[in-house]
Amino acid sequence: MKNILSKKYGKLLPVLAATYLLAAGNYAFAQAESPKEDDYFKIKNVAAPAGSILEIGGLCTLPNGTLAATTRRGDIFMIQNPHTQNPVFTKFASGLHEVLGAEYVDGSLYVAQRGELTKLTDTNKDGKADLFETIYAWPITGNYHEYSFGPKLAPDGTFFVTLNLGFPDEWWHPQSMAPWRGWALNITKDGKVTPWAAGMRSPAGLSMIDGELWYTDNQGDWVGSGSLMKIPKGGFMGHPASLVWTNQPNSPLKLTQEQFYAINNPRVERDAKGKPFKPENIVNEVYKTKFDEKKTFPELQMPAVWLPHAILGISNTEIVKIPKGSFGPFEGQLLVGDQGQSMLSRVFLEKVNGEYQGAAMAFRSGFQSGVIRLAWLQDGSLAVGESNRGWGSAGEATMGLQRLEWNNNVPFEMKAIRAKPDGFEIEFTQPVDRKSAEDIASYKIEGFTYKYHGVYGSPPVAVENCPVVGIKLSADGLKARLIVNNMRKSYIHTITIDGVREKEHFYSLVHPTAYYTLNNIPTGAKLTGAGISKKNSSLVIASAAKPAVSSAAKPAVASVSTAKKAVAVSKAPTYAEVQPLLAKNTCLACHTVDKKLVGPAYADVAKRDYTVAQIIALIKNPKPEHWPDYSTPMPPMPQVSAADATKIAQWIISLKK
Amino acid sequence: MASWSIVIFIASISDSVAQQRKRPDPVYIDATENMLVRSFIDLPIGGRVTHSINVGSPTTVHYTYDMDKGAIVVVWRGDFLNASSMWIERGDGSSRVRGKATYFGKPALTLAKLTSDQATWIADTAGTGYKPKGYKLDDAGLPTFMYQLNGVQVNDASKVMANGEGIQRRISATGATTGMYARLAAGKQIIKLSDVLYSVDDKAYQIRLDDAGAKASIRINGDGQELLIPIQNQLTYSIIF
Repeated sequence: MKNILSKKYGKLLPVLAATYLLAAGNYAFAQAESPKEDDYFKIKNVAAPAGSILEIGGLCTLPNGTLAATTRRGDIFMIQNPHTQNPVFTKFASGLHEVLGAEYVDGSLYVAQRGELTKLTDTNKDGKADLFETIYAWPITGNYHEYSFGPKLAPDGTFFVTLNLGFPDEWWHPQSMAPWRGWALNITKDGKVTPWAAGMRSPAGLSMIDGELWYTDNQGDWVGSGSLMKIPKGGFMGHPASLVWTNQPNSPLKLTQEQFYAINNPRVERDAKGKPFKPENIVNEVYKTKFDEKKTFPELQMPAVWLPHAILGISNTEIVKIPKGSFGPFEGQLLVGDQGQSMLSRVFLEKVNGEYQGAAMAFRSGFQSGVIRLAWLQDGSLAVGESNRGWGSAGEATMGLQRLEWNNNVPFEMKAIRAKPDGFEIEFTQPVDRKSAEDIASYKIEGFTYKYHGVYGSPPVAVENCPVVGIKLSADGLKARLIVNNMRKSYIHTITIDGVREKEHFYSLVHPTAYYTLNNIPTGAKLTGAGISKKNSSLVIASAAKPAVSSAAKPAVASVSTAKKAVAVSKAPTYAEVQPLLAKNTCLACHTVDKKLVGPAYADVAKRDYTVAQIIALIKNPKPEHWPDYSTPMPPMPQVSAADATKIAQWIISLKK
Repeated sequence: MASWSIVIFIASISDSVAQQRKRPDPVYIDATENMLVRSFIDLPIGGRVTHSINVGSPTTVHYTYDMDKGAIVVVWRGDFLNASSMWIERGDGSSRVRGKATYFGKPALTLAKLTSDQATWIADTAGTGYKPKGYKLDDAGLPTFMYQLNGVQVNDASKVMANGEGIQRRISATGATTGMYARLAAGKQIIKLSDVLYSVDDKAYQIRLDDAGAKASIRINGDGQELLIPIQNQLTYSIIF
């Protein structure tokens, strides 16, 4: 019996300490309410002058610790002492054009505006820029979606920018309307331009990590989900619109759009009257994945790590590496922002067969607005620049500047996940309880992937169970080596560890689920020998409680809750019953019960008097045109099971007053 | 029956949407001091200027400069800008001039090297080595725009005339300016009022030469007229509107 609450977490209601009894195998224990994200990582506001409009588009920390913040309204603020109670804001420049990034080099600030890379210098040292030098002005048609991101400074002193595609009236098929839209450009300080890589869609998260260029793209056509990708010179990142410029003499990529569409359906579709409409996912079709496509076009780049859509964001933004000395056990790992979900994800990278891959997991949610930009401050905290204008976000504020601070307590988390020839090695931040960690029922692994097609986004496809068949726990209790069946190269592996407990306080993991992108399966010896546990407590429960049904790798928790759920079927389910379904199916990324988020509140959906059948149909095939006040269209969710969709629909209807 | 109920349903949605949809308040920018605001600018004749920068002044006389052509796009008198189309929701990056505006047609290079004074005006930058170099602000916050053209370094600064009649533009060119002209105006009809004063398009605006001894000439261009002047190192003229 373990029920220890440290003083630190005394505020966490002791009543909850014995909330549920987990009967697993032949032992039982009461579980303490485990600490959450905000018990370790604190979100602080940066006090700004009253009336400031801080729609942050770029952040950059200067060598003296001042934070340069650029805004979508074209202002640049210099913020002294940003980590203190009394930061000092000075307007360094104004009237620029939607500034979405900044770098400080040799006393000047380099920023990307919509139409150019600009060098700002304060020549008379009065605290305001007075020299605005155009380094390079790129072509742009003036389409609203032609955002320009960067710059990022390369080790050789040159800059990179990325340029969004434009959105025509048929916004579901974005276009490269001017040269180098959908490309990354390399630009020297004296304005010499080299087209670098093509295939970008909405590359909002340009980042330089250890001298290598990376980015995140935004889900849409040809982008099944957000992801992290490294950008090599001459790379084709995946969206075909930008290929129209590979015929230019200075293009490092020769793949043409004709070659691409010769074997890929562009999904440009017209109704009987010739009116274009948004193509939808075809549920039962022979599809290709990006990995499949790469066999034909080796220039095509694979995500190092997928950030599953609506789980680890819906509109991924900047990537930063956690510097030495910051955020404890996670130093050296990556954090990725997300605008729509107002959150940060954490990424552990490793190289297998010379290529990057790794695990992504939620890190911190609850920011006040859409997370756009990140920059480390001198005190080791992370500045988080925010705006949700035009898109909406989980955090309801329209904009702002916050900081994330670590309080030096180590959360119980999966620190790292490493691929092994026959499974995964999970490294924990703290020693685990041996009994729970050696129980197969504590783990659940599933593989899936996304389609590579001209349809907006992709449902998860080819979902298959990956049975855990053995566990070897390290002597120090920090590493669980899992033997896993059905590992599939290039697939995303959802690793859920609900059952493992931390040794001292019996805490659950703060984030029990990680998503490992298995681009390569390492070669080498499989795990054999002594000390491999094959114990599975769920088999014991299953045979005792329900001898007829046996689900080999179902965790104990799931079995218990399934039994409970069976009671209430005919009546409309309660929120408590539906909440896990909404969470599992990622609905909560965009919806709440009674507040407008990225999508409408369920209470507002209820007002529309839909039938259960209509709601189920709309889940599978949404009609964004019914909700013109919302900026982000809901993707089709055919993966939601009929049983889940029915319960969710019944519950939504029950909200009508 | 089913389709009928859907029709009703859609109709009721559009009603409720109309009720819910509040028009957001417009976002205006007032030039309480000399200020620059970059935005796309749409032309009444069609087309969008993309590398444009609006220069506002508390004197209520403002202009827009096209950094892609080294050209003035529009001058106006009144309030400065309406940024609603840029700063509400996603925005499209454009703003609109407020007040009474005089547009100068499709933006074209102000300066060009011609093989003769009868050669067609070079409107486009292709082949000219045109490079925008940005701008610098003086102590009053007024900009001098800079660019390179045919190897010539050009500085281009305008200020509101003391009496508010218009703007005075000073262009200086450093380098090999042989054969380089400035096109001061292009329109349907240009009338010479005196050696230094020209009226364009039925008094839409006037051009006044401000350098001693300067001589401009009117020439035919297609079905319109142009006012040209050679430039060596410096040119000062006023746009009165």
